[in-house]
Amino acid sequence: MKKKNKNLIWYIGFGIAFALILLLFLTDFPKKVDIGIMLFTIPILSVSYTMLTFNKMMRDHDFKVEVMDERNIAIKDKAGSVANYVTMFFLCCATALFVALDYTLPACVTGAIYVCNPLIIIVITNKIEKKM
Amino acid sequence: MKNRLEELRKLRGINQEELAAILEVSRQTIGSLENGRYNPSILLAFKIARFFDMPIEEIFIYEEETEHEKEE
Repeated sequence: MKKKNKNLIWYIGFGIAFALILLLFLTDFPKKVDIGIMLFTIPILSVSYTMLTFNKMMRDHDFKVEVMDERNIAIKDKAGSVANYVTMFFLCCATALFVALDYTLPACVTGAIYVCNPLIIIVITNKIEKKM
Repeated sequence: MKNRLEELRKLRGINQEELAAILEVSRQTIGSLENGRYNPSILLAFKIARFFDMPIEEIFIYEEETEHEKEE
């Protein structure tokens, strides 16, 4: 029962993505709106497809052992943490570049993301702390 | 932390892959445990202890880290 619910959200994702594709072809929105819909659809479709495929692959015992292996999980966690620092470094570089080029809006957006990162970490840490 | 995993596994006459399959972990995890590069979770340590029918402390030998080792 739990497994069904787990997949249901990804099937809904598929449905939403196809509905958005239909919307794209059947309507005559301005080009910018079409691009926006496309950019919104692609991640929904790809994440839904990936998760459904992943859940199917998890039925294979060897694959499940490999994925659930505690050392692999620890490596993944550590890699994610390091990747976060690297991403933040590049985001900082991008912000500096935007400021240098006098691109105010992109600089504000990347700067805001950079500033929000520690807050996101605090919120996630608090949530995990309550669970543990 | 040192361990006697390799010694005990060889005494049982099984290879890393077989032990990994029994403990439901990857072969690489067994290799890392044997080399002392990775310390197992308490759950895996119990699984290993149960498999070898020995107390955990007879398989895993905890040693206090010296200041020099900590720096490394």
